[in-house]
Formats: sequence, C-alpha cells, structure tokens
Amino acid sequence: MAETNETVQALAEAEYKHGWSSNVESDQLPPGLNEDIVRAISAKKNEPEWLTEWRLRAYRHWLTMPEPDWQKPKYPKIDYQNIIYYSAPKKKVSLESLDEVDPELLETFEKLGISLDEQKRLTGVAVDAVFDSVSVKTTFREELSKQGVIFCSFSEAVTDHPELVKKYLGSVVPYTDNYFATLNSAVFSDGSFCYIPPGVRCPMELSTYFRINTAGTGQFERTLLIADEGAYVSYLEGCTAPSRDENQLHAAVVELVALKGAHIKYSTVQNWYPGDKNGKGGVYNFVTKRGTAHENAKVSWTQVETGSAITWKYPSCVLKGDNSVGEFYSVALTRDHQMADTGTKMVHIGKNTKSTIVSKGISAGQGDQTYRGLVKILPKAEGARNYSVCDSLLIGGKCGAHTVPYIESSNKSAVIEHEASTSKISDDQIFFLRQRGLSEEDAVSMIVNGFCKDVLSELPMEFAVEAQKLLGLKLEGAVG
Amino acid sequence: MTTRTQNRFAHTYTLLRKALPDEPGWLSELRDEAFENFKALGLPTVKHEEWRWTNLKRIADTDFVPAELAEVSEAQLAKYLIEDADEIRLVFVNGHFADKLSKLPTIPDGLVIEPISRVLGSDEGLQVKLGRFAEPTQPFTALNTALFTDGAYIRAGNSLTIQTPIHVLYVSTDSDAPAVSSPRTLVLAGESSELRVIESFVGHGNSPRLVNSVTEIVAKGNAAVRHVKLLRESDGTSHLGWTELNVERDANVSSHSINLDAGLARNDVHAVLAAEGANCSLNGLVLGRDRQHFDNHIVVDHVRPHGTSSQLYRAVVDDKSRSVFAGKVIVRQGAHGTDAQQQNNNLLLSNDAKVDTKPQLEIYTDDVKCSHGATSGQLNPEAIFFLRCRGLDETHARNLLTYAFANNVIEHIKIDPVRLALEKLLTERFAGLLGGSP
Repeated sequence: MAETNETVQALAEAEYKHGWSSNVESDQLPPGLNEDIVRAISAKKNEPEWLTEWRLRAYRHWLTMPEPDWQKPKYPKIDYQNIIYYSAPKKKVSLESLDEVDPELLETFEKLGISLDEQKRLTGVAVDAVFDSVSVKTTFREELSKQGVIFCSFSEAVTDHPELVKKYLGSVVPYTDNYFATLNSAVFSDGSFCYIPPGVRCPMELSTYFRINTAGTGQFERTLLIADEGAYVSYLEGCTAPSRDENQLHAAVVELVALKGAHIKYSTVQNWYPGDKNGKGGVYNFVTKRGTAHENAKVSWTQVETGSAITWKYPSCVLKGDNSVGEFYSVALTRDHQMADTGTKMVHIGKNTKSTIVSKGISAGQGDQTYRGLVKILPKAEGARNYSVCDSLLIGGKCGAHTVPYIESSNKSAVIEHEASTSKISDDQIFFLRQRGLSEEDAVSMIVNGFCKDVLSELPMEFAVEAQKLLGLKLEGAVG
Repeated sequence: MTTRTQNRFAHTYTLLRKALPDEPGWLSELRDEAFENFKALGLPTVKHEEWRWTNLKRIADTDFVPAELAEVSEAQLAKYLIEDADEIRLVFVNGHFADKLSKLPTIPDGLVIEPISRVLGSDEGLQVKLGRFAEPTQPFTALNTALFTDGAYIRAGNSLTIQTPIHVLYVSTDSDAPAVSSPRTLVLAGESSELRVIESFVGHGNSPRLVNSVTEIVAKGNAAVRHVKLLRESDGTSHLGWTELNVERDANVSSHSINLDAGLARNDVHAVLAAEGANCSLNGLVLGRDRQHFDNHIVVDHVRPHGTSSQLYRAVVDDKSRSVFAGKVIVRQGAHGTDAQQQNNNLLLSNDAKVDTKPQLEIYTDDVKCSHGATSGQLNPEAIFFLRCRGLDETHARNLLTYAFANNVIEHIKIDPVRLALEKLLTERFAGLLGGSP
C-alpha cells in the first residue's frame, strides 16, 4: 500500500503522465489558414474534386461565422492564422506490418501504454492510432474485413469507399453546423472511418488513439461511423498530448449513423494535456459529436473527461426513428484551472423515443465546470421519455459547479424528468473511511469512484479500469 | 428595428414628462438617467439568452402612449377584491392613484401606506431608496423608472407587526390607442417587523396595452414579509413585471407569483440574500389557456453564508398556451452552509401547448446543499385509474388531479384569505377548463 502510494505521489507530482513529446520528424504545412492551405491539405491527401469543393464551401462559410462566446469558460482569442493545420509524421508509406512503422512512433505508443503490437496480440482490440493529424496504423484490419467490417483511416476511406463517405459525410454534422465543426470541415486532416454491414455484430472493440505531438499544431480529425441495419459496434477513443506552454486547439467532429435497429456504443477517455498548476498551456478541446438514430436504433455515448484546459462539447443524439434510444453517460473532472462546459442534446423526433442522461461532475482546486444539456421533444414525438440526473461534487472552496439543463416539450404525452444536486464530500463519509484505516486521499478516491460508478460501469472492461485509475491519479494532491 | 422601438418610447417619454411638470429635480434626473440606460440597452430579442423563449414582437411593433386615469366603478372592482383582506386597499387605475376606490383606515404609528406620488416631496427620503434595489441594467426596470407615474409605498417601522393584509390593485382599462402604464411598488420592512402585501394586476377590456411594473421589497434584519402577486390581466395585455427582493440578516421573505390570466406575461423575480441566515421562499403557479404566454424568470443570489432558499414553480398549460420557466440559484464564494432547493413541474393538457424550462445552479463554494428538479408530462394514468376504481368518472378524476397539482403551490401561501380565495378560484377554473364539474 505504502509503495503504491509513493508511486501515486510521484506520478501526481509529475503531474501529467503523457507530457513528453517525441522526436518524430514531421512533414507540415506552414501555419495559417486560407483557401490555398485548404487546397494544399486536400492535395496532400489526394482527395477527389468533390471533397475539395466541400472543404472550400465549409471554409467560405466559416469566414462568415462569428466565434461563439456564450459558453461559461472564457479563453483568450485564438489566432487562427498561427496554427499549423497539417502535420504528419514523415516516411509515411502504406504499412502492412508493424515492422514498417517508424520505431520512434512505436516507442511513443509504447509509452502511452498502447503498444500497438501488444494490443494486437493480447487484448483483441482493433486500434487505429492517429498521430498529430494522420492515422499511422490500423491493426486487425484483415480479420475485420472477413466480416465485411471496414475500419480504416479517413483518407483511406475516401480513396477506397468514396460512395460511403460521400453519402454520409456531413449527414449528421453538416459543414454549416457551428464555428468549430465548420472549421474542422474545412481543414480536417484525417481520422477514423468505420462501416459495419447489415446484421453484423462487430467481433471486437474498435479503438482510436489520438495524440497531438508537434508544437503549434491544431488537431482536426474527423470520425465517421456507420452501423448498417441491425449492426452492433462498440468504439473507444483515447487522447493525449505533450505538455506545452501554449494552448493547442483540438476541434474534432464525430458523426455516428445508426440505421434501422443498429446499436452504436461510443466511449471516450479524454486525457489531453490540462495545462500546468497555474493554468498555463493545455489543450482546448472543442469537439462536435452527434449521432443519428433511425428506427429502433440506439446511440450510446460514454465519456470520461479528465484532461484539457477547456473541454467544451455536447455529444448529442438525434432520435429520428420511432422507438430509438439515446444515452449519455459522463464523468468530468476539473482541477487546478481546468474548465469544462459539457453535456448533451437529446432531440426526440420519432414516437416512443427514449433518452437517459447521467452526468457526474467533480470539481477540485479552482476547477470550474458546467453541465449544459438540452432535451427537446418535438410535437410528433408521442410517448417520448427522458430521464436525466446530473450530480456535482465539489472539493475545496474555490471551485465551481453549474447546471444548466434546457427542457423544451411540445408533446403532452412526453414524460421528462430532470434532477440535479450539488454537494461536497461529507465529513462523515471521510471519517467513516479514515476509521477503517484508509488515508484521506484513498478515502476521497473511493468516494469519488463510488460517485461515478453509474457511468464507469457503462465503459468496456479495460477502459473502466483505466478510467478508475485515472480518476484516482487526477485527484491526488487536490484534496486537503 | 431596435432604434425604431427606442424612438417610439422616446416619444412616450416626452409625452409623460410634459404631463408631470412639477416633479422634484432629483426625480427628473433619475428618470433621464434611467431612460438613457434603457436606450443603451434596447429591447431584448429572442437572441438574448434570457429572452430566447419569449418574443417581444408585439411590444416592439406597437406605439404606446402614456396611460391616463379612467373611471372604474366600485362594482367593476368587486370581483377582484379578496374576502377578509379588504381592510386596507390601494387602487391605481392605469398607473394613477384612484383616491375614491382606495381604503386607508387609521393605521398604527410607524406604518406608512401612501401612493408614491404623495410622498415624493416629503421627508420619507425616497430619493435614496427609489431605484436603488432593482437592477438598473435591465431594460424594463430602467423603462419603468423613466415612465412610472405612481404606485404603492409601504413602510413598516422597527418591531411593528401588521397582521392585516395590504391589498394593492393595479387596474388597467381600455383605451383608444395602445397605452403603457408603469406601476411601481416599494415595500420597506424595518427590523423585526412583519408585513403582508398582496399585489393584484387586473385588466379591463381587451384593447392592447403594456403594463411594465417594478416591485422592490426590502426586509431588514429579522423582518418577515409575505408577498403575493396575482396576475389577472386581460388577453390584450403584455405584462412585464420585475420583483426585487432584498433580504437581510435572518429575515424571512416569501413571494408567490400566481399567473391566472394575461396575453403575455413575463415575471422576473430577483432575490438577493444579502446577509447571513437570510431565508426566502419563491413559489409560482401558471394556468395557461388559449394562446397565453407566461414566462417566469427567477434568480436567487446567495451572497452570504447560511442562507436558505426554496422555489416551487408549477405550470398547467392547455390549448395553445405556453409556459417558460428559468430559475437560477447562485451561490457566491464564501456563502458556505447554503441550502437551496428548486423544483419545477409542468403539466401539459394539450398537444399544442408548449413548455420550456431551464433550472440552473451556479455554485462557487463547496459547503452547500443544492438541488433542483424539473418534470414535464401529463397526468399519471395510474392515478386516474385509481380514482376511477373508486367511482369517479374520467373528467372528475382528471379535474381532481389537476386541482391537486396546482393546489400544491397555493397551499404554501401564508396569507390565509388569499389562499382560501385562490382555492375557490381553482375549483371554478378547472371545472371550466376541462368541461365538467368537480
């Protein structure tokens, strides 16, 4: 016990475990944003004409949009001309086996605890690793393709499956959607693409690891996931970045399409660099995530948000088809000067649509977080049902927790329930655990894990363990 | 659009100032300043977060003239009076004091009940109190300060307990051109005093008009104020009402906002728990029908430690009516030991009715107990089944449950005659609303 505590202490003092950077040579475009850069990105990816045009339309639309400022976490103005929009590890050729991957890169992922090779052999999780802006390696592709599952980087999908990309790209998050999604549509560099054919239950968890490496870059990846009729897929996403003094922008877009009877489970463990103790540096995580659920389909979001200087995202479900189901489970932890404004939107369009929202927020130090959510029942959503619960736990007298749920109901048969509570860890609970020999920090960690249990139990096994450890680590030094 | 609207009110303002030539200088200055404020702020649109669900187009598109005093008979007034709460009565018609309709019996020493217009020049020191509490940064409180003609002024001295409810009636009547009246109420409860105040806003006739009211209530240390605002405006009326509560150490304020009728009504309640141990309870009821639109915006600001606050807002909406609720509890840094509860329940009786709600918590300290809940839906089919098993027909069962749902708010009213009158009114209302008799 003592030893683990020391290790934990050491790690806590090291503050951010993934703060190193790798010396992988990268091929990058100069910083700045204009039509030429958009064209250059498109050219680098050998994209067809229609996609270049789509990007340019997005770029031109972006120019007309004002940057939103209604969010709770305020940040200094971002200089969009000072960001590198494309950075890729050099020596990128198509890779058939792991031996061909740059050893420095492999080491990077080894350090992250995602040894691609090991992952491949032991856990049976198919991994698509995205380093800076491009996908470097997708494992298990062959086995997946036997079932007809397509799992590859976005740029490969554009080349190999243009009909699917063309049909679904922007169908859930149109390029006009919001400031950051539009920016992403113009400059996205890579990401993951996944298609599960009708009736197929994807034999393994699919997973993407994102890492920002190069300084001054923004990461703009795009994930498109399509589950055809009756298909099932569970998808995991993890993120890290090196410690740098400047703020880095991460503006991703994730689109999920669950066709009739399909089920998509999307889990995120977000651990971008949160900045140092005084709030210097860190990643701005401004992400647009949305899923459309057709008839009898189900879209389920689970997120554990522990990193980033600012997290600003609302994974949403558009419950279009009758009897479709949307779920949102979230744990967000902010400490030091971290800020989070996160939540979900559930739009009930079809009859008998159901949604569940479970959000747990933990604020420590000078952390500040907001749950912001929308439950919207349209007039035709007969028999719609929503249940939301948002709890916040406060640790220390300088943190903040806010709850802003929006409920709009236009159907009398719809039943909506929302409840929220805010409190601190009670002294009685700590006293009880201390009596049984736990240190104060262990006691807090145990209480927090209990507080988050409803959400953590929704995560796939391997992730749940990782998330639990992560929460414990993040809380170290925040208590007392 | 915005500038045009301001110009409209600029004309209204000029007309009003001409009609009130002999005001004290400090008041003219206050008005000018407030009007400048209003011009700078402009009329809010649905793009403003706090107005996203309430469209003020009907105000923005209308030219208003200042409302003038009109004849109202005792008989016309009768149906708005409250049994057993009619000893002290102040009546204002279109924002002007109606002497003949008011009742001001001999009142105990230390209690002042007067129309504001009569005390403006006296040593009541109004110049330091008027407009000091209500947010000057809100467009409509600013507009009220600029345009107000009269209102009730109630002050209780220290340790004075007034059991008799004070009924303030603001009546608006038909006019040829759309008119704006700006009633203003100022209630000052001295230390350890106790006051009961009822404000009724009633409308006669259906001509379009704007009633823009401001009510300021200050409860000094250990004081108790019970306040009820009854809204019985006509369908042609747009009612904008701002209620500012300033609660000091260990004082206790309860405020009920009962929305029975109005074409469009927006109530803002802003409660500041300014000292330790302050306590407030804010409740509201909306009964919407036809195309009525009700909007209740509540802010409870816990500034100091150990304050308690509770909110219970309920809405029953039928036909094409709409109810909006936005409640915010702020707990400032250092306001430890705060206990704040907030509850919003909505009942939709028709598929064309709409409910929008946004209960908010904004918390900056850790030692607090805060919770909120919101629900929206229809009557529980099992409860209806239960009642039908016991021999009630469907209509009776629904009436009874709807009545119970609404009465839950009414039963918190601590001014007995008002509670009884409202219970009676509810019984009548639901019989009519659901097409049966309870």
